[in-house]
Amino acid sequence: MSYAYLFKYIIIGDTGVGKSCLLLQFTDKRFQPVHDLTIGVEFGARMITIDSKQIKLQIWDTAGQEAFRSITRSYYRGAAGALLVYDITRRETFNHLTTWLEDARQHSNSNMVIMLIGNKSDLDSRREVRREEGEAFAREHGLVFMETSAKTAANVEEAFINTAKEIYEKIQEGVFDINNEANGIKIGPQHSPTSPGGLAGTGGQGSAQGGGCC
Amino acid sequence: MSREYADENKGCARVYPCERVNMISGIQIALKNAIDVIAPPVTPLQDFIYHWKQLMNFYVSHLTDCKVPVQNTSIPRHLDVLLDILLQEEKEENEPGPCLEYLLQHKLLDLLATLASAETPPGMRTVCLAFLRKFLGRSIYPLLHHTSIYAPIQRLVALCNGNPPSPIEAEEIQFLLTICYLACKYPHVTNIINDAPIVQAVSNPTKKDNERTEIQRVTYVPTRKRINSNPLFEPLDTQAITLINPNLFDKERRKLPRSNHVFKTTVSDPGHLSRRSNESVSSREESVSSSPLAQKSVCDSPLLNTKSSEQWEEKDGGDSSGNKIDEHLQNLRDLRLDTDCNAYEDAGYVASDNQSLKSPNKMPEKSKCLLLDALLSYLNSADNTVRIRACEGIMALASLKDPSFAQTTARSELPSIVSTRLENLFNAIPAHVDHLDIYNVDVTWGLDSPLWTQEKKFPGCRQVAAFFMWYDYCDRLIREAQMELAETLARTIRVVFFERIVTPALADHHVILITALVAKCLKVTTSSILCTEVSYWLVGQDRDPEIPNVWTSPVLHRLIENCFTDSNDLTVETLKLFEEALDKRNEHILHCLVLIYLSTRAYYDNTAADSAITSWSDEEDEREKDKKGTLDLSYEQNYSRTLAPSNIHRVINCFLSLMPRYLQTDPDVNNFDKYMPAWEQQYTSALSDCALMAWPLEAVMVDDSASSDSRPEADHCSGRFYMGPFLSMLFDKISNMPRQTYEINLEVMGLILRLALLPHPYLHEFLLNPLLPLIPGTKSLFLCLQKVVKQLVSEIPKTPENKIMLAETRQRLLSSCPQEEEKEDILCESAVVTEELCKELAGIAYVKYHHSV
Ligand SMILES: Nc1nc2c(ncn2[C@@H]2O[C@H](COP(=O)(O)OP(=O)(O)OP(=O)(O)O)[C@@H](O)[C@H]2O)c(=O)[nH]1
Ligand SMILES: [Mg+2]
Repeated sequence: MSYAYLFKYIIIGDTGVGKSCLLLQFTDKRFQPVHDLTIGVEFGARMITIDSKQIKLQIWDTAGQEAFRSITRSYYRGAAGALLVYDITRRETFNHLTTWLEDARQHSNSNMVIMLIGNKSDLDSRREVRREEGEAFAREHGLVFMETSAKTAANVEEAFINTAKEIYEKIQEGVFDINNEANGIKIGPQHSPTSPGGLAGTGGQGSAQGGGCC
Repeated sequence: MSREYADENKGCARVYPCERVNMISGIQIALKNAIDVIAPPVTPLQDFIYHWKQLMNFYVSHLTDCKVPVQNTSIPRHLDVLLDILLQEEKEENEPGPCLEYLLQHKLLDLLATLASAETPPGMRTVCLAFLRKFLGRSIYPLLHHTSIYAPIQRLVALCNGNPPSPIEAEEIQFLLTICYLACKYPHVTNIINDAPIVQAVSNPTKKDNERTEIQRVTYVPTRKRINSNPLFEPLDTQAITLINPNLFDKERRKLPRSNHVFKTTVSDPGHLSRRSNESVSSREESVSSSPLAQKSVCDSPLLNTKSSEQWEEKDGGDSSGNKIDEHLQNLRDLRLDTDCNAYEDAGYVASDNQSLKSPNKMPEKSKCLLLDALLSYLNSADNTVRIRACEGIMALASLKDPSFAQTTARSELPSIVSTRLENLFNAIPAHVDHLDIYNVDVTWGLDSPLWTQEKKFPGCRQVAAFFMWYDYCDRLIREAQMELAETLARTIRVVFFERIVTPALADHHVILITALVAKCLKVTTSSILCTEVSYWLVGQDRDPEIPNVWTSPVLHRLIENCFTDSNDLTVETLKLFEEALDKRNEHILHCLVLIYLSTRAYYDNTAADSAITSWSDEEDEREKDKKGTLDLSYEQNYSRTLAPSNIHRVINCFLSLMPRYLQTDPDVNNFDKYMPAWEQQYTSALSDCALMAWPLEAVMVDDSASSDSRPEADHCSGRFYMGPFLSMLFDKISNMPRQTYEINLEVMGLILRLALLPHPYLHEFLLNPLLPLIPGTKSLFLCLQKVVKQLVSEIPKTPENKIMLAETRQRLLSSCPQEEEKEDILCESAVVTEELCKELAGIAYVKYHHSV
């Protein structure tokens, strides 16, 4: 299927916070009640529409288990967006956010859009992390914030789509270099720009490091 | 009946050895009763045993015909139920429950492993692997240290081999990844997945003692999980040894009459029947002997069952039916052995059944990492997902924080397999790939796999992408691996790939493409350990300066020669490679390329220092006098005065006035401010990148004290100054600017600016201080530029309409949208580049000054 852009996402966060469930809800509109712990990294994809443009999301669902942290880390690079998930019913998953964020910032490209997600909002009676705390953390670290429920599907679409919107805006602003696929963005087959070449192209490359002779 | 069950429940809740007899015979009755009324069993354990026996029943009724695909049998369903019961039990009890104990005690997994190896019925292996993966992955207990778990797991791991590709590789790799996960989660079990003790223990009796201590080590249970009341969870499980070493078992058993007693008297112990036959056939291996197959299922059909269960009890003493099944299984196994070329296949069986079969060639001690070897065999899989999973597993094991395991992996085949794959993928890149396409290939090992397989951006892009994905994996793996393994990996990649493959390729006729590929490798290298090895390849390991015209580093030699061929493309690509090398900000590269040649300051003319007051120190003294009192002196220690000469305005002026006014095309003549912000930013990052390189703060004579008072010291720099091959090449290229293409000039400019930006005092004054007194005959950047300008001045005015030409050239080169091909004029283009270069240099000099005051 053709698309205007392709964005690569990763989903990170402690084990059991509902990463796989969020992905399953987003791609298959299903909920999986048993915790089938992710071993390694799983992959999912879905098409969305932003600004009447078809955008393909490729999503990598990582393992939250400490034992697999090295694998997760090596997936950060080359992602345009990340969903950083915690479980509102388990405070320790919220407390670990700083570590996750540090790891992500260190191993990803600096423009990566990070969406903070407080999942399991359906379990309000067992809530351990107040909504305001999530908001405050997001504000402090410059993230977008949202509470979701992979069970009831509340805000799940929004979480993925808003992240895409954020990336899309960054592309419009020229923050993302769309020709550099290491940013986790790909232009669809029919939208490829005329091949960058000629002298200005070469000069542009020189100036990227050379301080801008042009 | 219900009361009877209630009693049974109590008996079943905990299985202690002394109670076992009662309990198990109780189950017999219970089962019989259950069958009589076709009522479902009541306790989870009964349910569990029921389904297990149902499963086993298949084998009893299909002794000769096992061709039914497993999916058409009830086996998968029974296994699903068994799994559910086990997981449910974990949820409800806060210590290992009776079903788990049953599974351990009766070595169910061992039997499953046997059936999986025999592929009976067809598809059984997939089903067993899936069952084990789910069970072990989800269980909250660290089970792997139990012999009755790890021995079958080892056999299954050994069965998994992606070479040649297996039709069920997806399930195999998922299973292996789960074992990796367990190994990472419970690092104390690494010994289990690490060695291949099945083979060693059985074949090598002298190792028995070692093995035993080994086992004592691996069967250690973390105190947190230790359950004292339960013998199965004792740190040393004596029964656990048996699977590794049957002989040991015999001894142990004699010492432990109680467990013997259990075997003799418990009807439902599946091991007991065949155990006897085992004794008669001396060296039959444990897994078969413990086979619960020996029992006929009770539940096939209600009518028959009462009978058969009676028969079953009668037959306790005889071993005819049990043996039949055993033999049957054995035949299956033998069959598999004949057809299967897997060297690891059923290694344990071969070893214990027949010593002569165990040929040392067939079982080479190639590596001790059973699991790692299995994973490595999938690296060439055609299935992306399988390959990625293998990569993930390897990365997880490589990052395992266990020094002895790291050592084992470093000595395994991992480094050489990883490097060889890099080599093969490199060689697979078609020679016709356009070198200009390389720059834009940006891939990562994990995120791009589904993408690039269908990609058709340019001919050969898939192979290029495959190579860079693997290079990215190597880089990541080295970053995540434990130190010893990381270093071995990087070293092996240098030797196997860079030295053996790339070095000779730099002289063959695809050298342009090769150079572009290497430049890209440098660009994407993020691991400092890999970068170090690549730097050794690039500039050699020797840190001493080269003598002029005597080449010690073959690669550097070749690259510099490649800059002087007739091929414009080769020159450009090689200069780009140097650009990437400088961008690494790698101490060794900078040292060997440039800094070592400047560190004696042999270019500096001491004698001239007096007459022309230009050295930083004299100038600085004046400035000191002027500003004393107003300046915060605490700054002085941290900031280099070499980088901030007080005559900065003269320095800047030198650069800005180099190009005569009438050749300048920038309407904003002396304005270099517009370059400032970009350089500010880059200089800040250069400062932080180079902060740890222990560079001197100031440019001073090395032997200052000796030469300070004795003035006529012209011969103090005994050897002539040699700036090294790299700077020599660059200066040659600078001098040649009026005769070179724009692309080359742009690259040369980029390299000079990169060097000028570095906060190294000698390099700084050598490149950025045109007022520095130099030993006569020394080439300097400024002198080269002067020569260039002289040439431009003498030649450009001769061409007609040169003013317009220059302006148009500038327009063309600096506009961002490519225009239709106009007449290119090398002279005009060079003039524009030279003008820009001078301003950039002035800009850098100013930014560095600014940062240092
Ligand atoms: N009530 C409720 N339960 C949820 C929700 N999301 C996930 N769960 C449950 O939480 C458990 C863990 O969910 P997973 O999605 O498997 O967790 P994960 O983050 O992928 O965990 P790892 O793969 O180990 O990193 C499962 O039992 C889910 O059913 C939710 O929004 N509401
Ligand atoms: Mg998951």
